[in-house]
Amino acid sequence: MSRNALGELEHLVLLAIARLEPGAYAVNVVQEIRSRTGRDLGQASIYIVLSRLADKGYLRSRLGDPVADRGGRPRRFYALTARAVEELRATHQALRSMWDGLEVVR
Amino acid sequence: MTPRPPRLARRLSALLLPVRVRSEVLGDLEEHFAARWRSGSRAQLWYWRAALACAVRLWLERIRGGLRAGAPVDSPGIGAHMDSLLRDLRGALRALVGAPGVAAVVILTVGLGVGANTAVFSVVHGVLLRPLPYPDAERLVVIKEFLRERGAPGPGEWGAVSYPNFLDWGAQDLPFEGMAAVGTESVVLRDATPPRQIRIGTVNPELFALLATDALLGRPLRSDDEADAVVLAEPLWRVAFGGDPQVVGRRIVLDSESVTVVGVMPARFLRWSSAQLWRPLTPATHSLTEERSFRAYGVVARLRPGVGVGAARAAIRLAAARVAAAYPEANASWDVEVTPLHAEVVGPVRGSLRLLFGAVGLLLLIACSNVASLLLARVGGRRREVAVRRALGATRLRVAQQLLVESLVLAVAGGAVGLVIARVAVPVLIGVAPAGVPRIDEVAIDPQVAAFAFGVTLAVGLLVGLLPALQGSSRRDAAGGTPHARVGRFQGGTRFLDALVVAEVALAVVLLLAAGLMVQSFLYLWGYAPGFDPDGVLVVRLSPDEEAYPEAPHQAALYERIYSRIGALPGVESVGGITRIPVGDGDIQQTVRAVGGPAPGANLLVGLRPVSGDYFATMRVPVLAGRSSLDEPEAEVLVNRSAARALFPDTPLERVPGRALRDTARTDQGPELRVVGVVGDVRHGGLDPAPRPEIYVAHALRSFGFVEVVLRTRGDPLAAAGEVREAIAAVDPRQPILEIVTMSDVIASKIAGPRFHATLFGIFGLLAAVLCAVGIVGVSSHWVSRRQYELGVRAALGARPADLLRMVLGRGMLLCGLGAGVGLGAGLLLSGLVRSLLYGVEATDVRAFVAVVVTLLALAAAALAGPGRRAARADPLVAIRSE
Repeated sequence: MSRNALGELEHLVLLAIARLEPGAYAVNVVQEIRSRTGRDLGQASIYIVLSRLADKGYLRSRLGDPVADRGGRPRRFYALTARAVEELRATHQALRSMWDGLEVVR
Repeated sequence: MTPRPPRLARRLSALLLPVRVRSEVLGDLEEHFAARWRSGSRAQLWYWRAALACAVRLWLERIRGGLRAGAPVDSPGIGAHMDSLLRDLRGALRALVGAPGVAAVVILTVGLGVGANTAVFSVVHGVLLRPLPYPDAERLVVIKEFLRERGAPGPGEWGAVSYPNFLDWGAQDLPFEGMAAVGTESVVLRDATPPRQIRIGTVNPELFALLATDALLGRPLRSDDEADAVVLAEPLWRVAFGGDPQVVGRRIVLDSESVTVVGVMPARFLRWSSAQLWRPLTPATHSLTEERSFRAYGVVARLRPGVGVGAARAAIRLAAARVAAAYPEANASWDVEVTPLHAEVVGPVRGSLRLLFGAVGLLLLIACSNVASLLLARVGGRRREVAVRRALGATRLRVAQQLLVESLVLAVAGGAVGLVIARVAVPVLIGVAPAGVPRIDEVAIDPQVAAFAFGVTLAVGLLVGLLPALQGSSRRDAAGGTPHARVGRFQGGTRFLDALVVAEVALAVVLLLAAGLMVQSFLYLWGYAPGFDPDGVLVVRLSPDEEAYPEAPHQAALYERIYSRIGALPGVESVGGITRIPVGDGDIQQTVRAVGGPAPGANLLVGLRPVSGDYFATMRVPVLAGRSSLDEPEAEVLVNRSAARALFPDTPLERVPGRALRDTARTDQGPELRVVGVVGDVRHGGLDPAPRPEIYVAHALRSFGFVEVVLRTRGDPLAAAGEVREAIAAVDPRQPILEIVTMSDVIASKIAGPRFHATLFGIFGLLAAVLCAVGIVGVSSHWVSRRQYELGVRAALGARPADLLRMVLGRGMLLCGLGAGVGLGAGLLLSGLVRSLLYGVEATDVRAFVAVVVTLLALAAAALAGPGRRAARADPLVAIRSE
C-alpha cells in the first residue's frame, strides 16, 4: 500500500467509477454513491476529489461528444489507471484480512 | 424544448469557476437543470442556488491551492483523438456499405487512375530514371566526333571516333579517370550448330575497369591479355554453351580464328549494347586502328570526381583542336561532343515515355475530378445529417474530419485496386512495348513504385476529400432547411460541380485528341500499300563466307543452289533472293543515265537492288511490262515504274523494255545495260517515304556479300524454317544463317512504335471518355435531384416535360461545350509535343479535332438523357408537399 493512502471519499469515488466504467462522469458517480451508500456529496466536492485523484495518477479522463442538454458541452468521462486498480485491490485485501473472523456486535 | 438555465446565474458561475473544471461543472449543472425542468420542480430557483454555491466553493478551493489548472493526467489529446478516428473509420465503412454503388464507382475510378499511373511510372522509372548498374554511373560519359557542318549529335545518335585520335587525346591531360574505345563487328561463331553470326565488341580492356563490374565466371579482360582472350556475355553463354560452368579456359572458333574464353560477364553488363562477346582491341587484330580518317569506335570515359560534363567537353575540345592542328586532312572539319552515358542509353525513348507519363497523369486528374464530383454530390445529399451534427455542437473540424476519413478510406481501397491493376498491366506493357526500348526487361513493380502508388493514393484522397469536406461542413448549408431558402441558395454548391465538369471535359478532349492523332498515324502506316504481298513470306538472311565465295558470280551460284534445294521442299511455292528486302534498313544507291531517245537527261540517283531467282513472283510484285528474269546478267537490268518514268518520260511503259541505260556509278562512260522489264514500285526505305526510282541487277553482276532469301509458303511460313535450315546446310554446312523471320514480322516491328503509342493513347482516351460520361451523369443527376422542388414548381406553372428536358440538356451541353473549347485550345497549344511521333498526319489535323468534339458532344448528350428524363417527369405535387 502506498504512503498516500486513499481517503474514504476518494475510495468511494474510485469504486463508483469502477462500477460505472466506461461511462463514469461526475453526475452519475454522485448518483451511484448516493443510491448505494446513502452518502450525499455536496455539489462541489466531487470535482475536488476527482481532480485530486487525477493529480495523484489514479484517474484518466477524456471528453465525450457534445450533448444538447448540457448546452452542447461534452461530458468528461473518467477511468481508473492501473495504479488505481492496484491500490483498490491492496486496500480491499487489507480490509478483508482485518475483517476476517471478526463480528462486530455491539 | 428545454430552455437554457438562467443566463445571469450561468455567467456569474462561469466567472468564479476555475478553468480546469469550468466546462465540466457548467455542463453538469445544466444537465441537472434539464432533468429538474422535465420533472417539474422549480429548476430555475434550484439552479441559482446550486450554481452559485458550487462556483463559490470551488473558487475557494482554488484559492487554497487545489484544482490547479493544466491538462489532467493522460489528457484526451491522443487517446480521444484515436477514439474519434476509429469511430470515423467505423462510420465510414458503414456509410460505404450503405451506398455500395457509389462506393464501387469511386473505388474503381481511383483504382483505374492510380493503377494506370503506377504501371506507366514503373516503366518510366525502370527505363529512364534508374541509374545505370555501375558504381558512380553518373560520372560515365560517351565521347563522339562529328562533322561541324552537321551539328552535334544528340543522345543515341551516331558519332564514332577514330582510334589514332583517341590515342592522341589520351596522351594529353584530360579530366578523365579513364577512357576506353569500343568497336563492334560481326563474326561467325563456328562452335554453335548451325554456326551463328554474333555481334562482338572489340574493346580496350580498360572498359571493364571503367564499368567496374565483376565477372560471373572467370575474370574480365585485362590490359595484359593476349589478343586471343575473350569474355562471353551471360545470354550467349547460356544459349550457345548451355551455361557450362567449365567454359572458362575453353577454346572456341570465331570465323577462322581460335580464341580462349577467360570469363563470363553478367547479363546486366552492357545489356544495352548488342555485343555478346568481347575481345581486346589491339593493332594486331585491327589494322584499321591505324587509319586516322576511319571513324568506327565508340569511346566511354569516366569523369574525375567533381568534374562536370561541360568542363570535360571544353577540355577535350581543346585537346582535339591540338590534334587537329597536327593532322589537318583527317580532322579539319571535325568537332568533339561529350554526353552522359545514361542519356545515350535512354535518350531515344525519353520523349515518348515522358509523353506517356503526361497522358496518364491527365487521366488521373480526370479520375480525381470525377471522384470529387461524385463525393460532392453525395455530401449534398447528406446535408440534413451534417446540419443535425452541427446543431448538436460538433465542430466544423470534427465533421470535416469525418468526411475526410470517408474519402481516405475510399482512396485507400481504390489504391489497393490500383496496385492490383498495375500488377497486371506492367507485364502487358512490357509485352507490347516495341523492340529496342532499353532496359525494359528490368521493369518491375519495386518498392519505389509502390511508394509512388501510395503517395498518389494519399494525394488523391486528400485532394478529393478536401472539397467535399470543406463544402459539407459549412454552417451556412446547415441552415438551408426551408424550401424557400433552398431555391435561392444553391448557386454556391453547384458552381464547384460545374467547374469540375468543365475541367474533366477539357482534359478528356486533350487526351482524345492525342489518341485520335496516334491512331490516325498508325492506320496510315498500317494501311499503306507496300507494293508487294508480305503474308506467307519467309525471309532468311545469309552472308556468304568471303573466303569460300569471293566474287559475285560465286555468290550468285551459291544462291542458285540454295534456291533449287529450297524450291524442292513441299509447301514452298516460289523462292528468290534480294539484297535488302523492302522495308528493311540500309540502302545502296548509285547514278544512272538514260541512253538514246529524244532527250537523254542528266544522271539520276537510283536505288540499286541485286536480285536473283523468282524474287518478283515470290513477293508478288507486279510486272508491268516485259519480263522479270535477267537472263544475261552482265547486260540486263530491270527498272521500277518510278525509274521508268524518270528515265524515259516520253516512252509509254509497255515500250520501255528495249531501252537502255548507262551505269554511271564510277565513270560517266560506264557500261550500258538493256532494260528488259518494268516492275511495280515497292516501298524500300522505311515506311514513310514515297517510292523512289530503283533498278534491279542480277546477283551474278553485283553482290554485296549479303542476301535475303525470300520464299513463299503455302501454310505458316515459320513452320518451314527447320526444313529451310536443313536445305541450306545440305548445300554448304559451313554457311551460317544470320536470321530467319517472316516478312510480316519485319513490317510489324517497323511500325511497333506507332502501334504502341496508338494502343496506349487509345486506351487512355477511351478511359477518359468513359470517366467523363460517368462524371456528367453523376453531376446532372445530382443537379436534378437537388432541384426537384424548383422543377415541380415549374411543372405546376405549366412547363411541359420537353421544356424541363431541354433545361437539363441545355445546361449540360453548355458545360460540355465550354470544356470542349478549353480542351481544343489546350490541344492546339500542346500539339507540338506529339509531332515527333506522328506519321502522315499533322499535329493540328482538323479532322481529328472535329471528330473528337463531335464524339464528346454526342457522348455528353447520351449521358444527359437519363437525368433529363427524370427532370421531365418532375411532379408538381412534390413542390406542394414540401411546403
